[in-house]
Amino acid sequence: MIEGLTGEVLAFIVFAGIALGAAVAVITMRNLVHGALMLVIHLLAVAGLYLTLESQFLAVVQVLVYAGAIVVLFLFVIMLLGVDRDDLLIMNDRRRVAGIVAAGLLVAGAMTAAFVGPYTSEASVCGSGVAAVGSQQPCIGLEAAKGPDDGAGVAFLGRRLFTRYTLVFELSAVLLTVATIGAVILARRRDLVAEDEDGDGDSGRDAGGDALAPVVAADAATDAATHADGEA
Amino acid sequence: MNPLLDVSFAAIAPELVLTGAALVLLLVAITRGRPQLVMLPVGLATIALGAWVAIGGDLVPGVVLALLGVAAPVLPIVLPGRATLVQAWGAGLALGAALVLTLWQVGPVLGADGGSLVASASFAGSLASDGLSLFTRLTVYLSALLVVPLGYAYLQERRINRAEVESLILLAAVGMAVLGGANDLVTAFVALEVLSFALYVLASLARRDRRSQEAGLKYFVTGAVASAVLLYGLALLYVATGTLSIPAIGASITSVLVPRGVAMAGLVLVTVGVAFKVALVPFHFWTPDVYQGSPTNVTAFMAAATKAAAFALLLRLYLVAFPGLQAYWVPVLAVLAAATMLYGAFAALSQHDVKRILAYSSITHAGYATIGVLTLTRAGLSATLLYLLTYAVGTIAAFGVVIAVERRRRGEVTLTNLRGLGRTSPLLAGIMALALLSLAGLPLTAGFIGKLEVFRAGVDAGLTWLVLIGVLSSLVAASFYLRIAGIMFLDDAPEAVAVAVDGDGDGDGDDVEAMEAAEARMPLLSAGLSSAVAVAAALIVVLGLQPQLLIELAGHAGVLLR
Repeated sequence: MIEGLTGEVLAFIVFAGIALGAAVAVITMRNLVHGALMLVIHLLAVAGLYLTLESQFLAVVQVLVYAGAIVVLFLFVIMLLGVDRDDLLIMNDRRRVAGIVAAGLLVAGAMTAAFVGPYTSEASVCGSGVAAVGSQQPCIGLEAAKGPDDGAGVAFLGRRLFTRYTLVFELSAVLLTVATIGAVILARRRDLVAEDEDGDGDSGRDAGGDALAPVVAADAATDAATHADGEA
Repeated sequence: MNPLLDVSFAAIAPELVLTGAALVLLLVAITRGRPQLVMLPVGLATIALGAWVAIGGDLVPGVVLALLGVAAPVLPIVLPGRATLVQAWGAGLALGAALVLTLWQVGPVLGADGGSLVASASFAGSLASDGLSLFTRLTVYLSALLVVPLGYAYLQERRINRAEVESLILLAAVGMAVLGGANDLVTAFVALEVLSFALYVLASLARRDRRSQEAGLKYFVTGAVASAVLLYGLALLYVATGTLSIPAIGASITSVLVPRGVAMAGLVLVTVGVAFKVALVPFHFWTPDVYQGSPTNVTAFMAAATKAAAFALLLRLYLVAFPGLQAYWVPVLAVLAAATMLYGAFAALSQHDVKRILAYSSITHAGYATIGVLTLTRAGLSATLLYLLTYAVGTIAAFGVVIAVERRRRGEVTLTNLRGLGRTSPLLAGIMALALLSLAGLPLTAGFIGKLEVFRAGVDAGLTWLVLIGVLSSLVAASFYLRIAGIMFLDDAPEAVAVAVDGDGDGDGDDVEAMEAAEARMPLLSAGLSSAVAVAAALIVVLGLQPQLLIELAGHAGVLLR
């Protein structure tokens, strides 16, 4: 057996390989629907990576939200636009593709160097083992971050949501309410004209048109007056 | 009490009232003409709750709740068959109650040691209760309270007064107030999104007006990009420091254990995101279009309250979390502020649309307020808070007059429309002139006090060059404010009105049309608009002549939870 090849590493290699392969497949598939399905595989593989990191909650959310809701949304859009139109996203300029890939690699490398680097080398702040100043420690593992009573995984998250982050939890409910109201307002097919005042609310459908009429007349009158003035 | 759960209802009393009121108003909207179905049970429950709170020892919130409970079923009786008016009154009463509760929160801490406010945290450190949060609440609720009556007749006439408008304004105010007190990164971000979402919808309220659509879309896209950038910055700060709490970030950000590169990347992204939100110059480009296209009362709300809330976030992040990195961000923000002040003032010179002029004026004012942040002193914090309040009052008065003149013009008020306003309606023109003088910062107005305090704090902190740029920009700005005043009072009324009024000699059908045309030229005046504008104008004068109380309050409010 190769040294260092524990089950965890093996799982990481398998899932990471699937994720990378599927990611490449997403952009190379000629059929958009196949691409979207490859995205599902990619997202599931990333969920597997989360599982190996012992974050069950994140893995489940990844499957529910990304592989579930978002890819379904993609498919809806693709179906609406027409599956046959595979000319939508084809890139036939090789130099452009190479440029994009190179730029992506550059950004990924830079981000890895900048953000991951400080935590990985032997001389890094994490490797040095110096006690943190103040109450906060910059690099601690998940186990150390949790309090003694916090439990694991989902239980830990739930506890935190309803203790430390109660306010944010409630506030996000307000946020969803606002978003729902907004969606209703913006998506409603026709304006329900304010249903009060002169009791013309019953004629909801026509009220909009009627309401515009006198205004248009008034505008026309002012325009006429202005023109007459200009000519005179 | 359960030790795990740290819920302090007193700390969020105004927000609770407003959220409750918003939800009740939404329910009322779907009862379709039978508001008592909701109002009566809710009113009774609120009275009972108020009595329980009062017996429990908190007299003021108990009485406020009981009064609201009484008002709920009475409103539909007093205003039968006028659903939108019930909504507006309901929202206004709730905002009034929120203001009273805010003052109730200030009261004891202010009286306790006669000096500064005592900062405290609630909700396990999520929410700060300090000078910044209380003063932001004050500004936001006052602005909303003025904007609700200001916009009622306007929305009604444009036929865009939907039942949900008041609820959205209330929920946006809740988001702004929580943003003022947000003491950790998650709370701040969620609160910011609450207010942004509500404003995206309010901006695109006039769905038949293409300009309003454009405003809503532009605001949404730029706002979403700004939020994404900001969120990335906040995430990097968390990565760097390992904590979400803003004071804890401030304590540890200079530690050798914090990777400087990550922290700096976070600082840069946060700066960009926040600069978008408060419209500092390279990131200001959305402001004129959004301010011009949105319904004018929404624009007034955006200019007054959103600015205060976004500055609350900026103040808390830079004064609590980033003082350790001040060598890096102070020069950058100073350059941004200088560019903002100069650009806003000069760009406004070439504008003809009054709403665009006021938009550029709001950009300029963001620059002035940033001076207070850059001082990093308590005096600077107080001055910024005071400045935001005086700016809110002045800009609401100005937009109120624009609403009155805008009647039937559907979002377009140019300088020519203001010609001769001093002859036709001198009171309105007088208030507009007063508001503009206040925005320009001339003595005896509220704006002068705000500007004086900010500039004084700037000079004391050694930012003399920035203050000089501020003075220069004020002079340029004053020139175009005075130009508007001159157009209103010195120029004659447009000829068209004279023709329309006099040209009815030959009678017949033209007569009616001419009368309608003349009527369309007359300013829109409703009870709500007049009283809101009058109150704003009175505040400008009173704060300008007797600023001591407010300066004292702002001085006490210069306290941050660290």
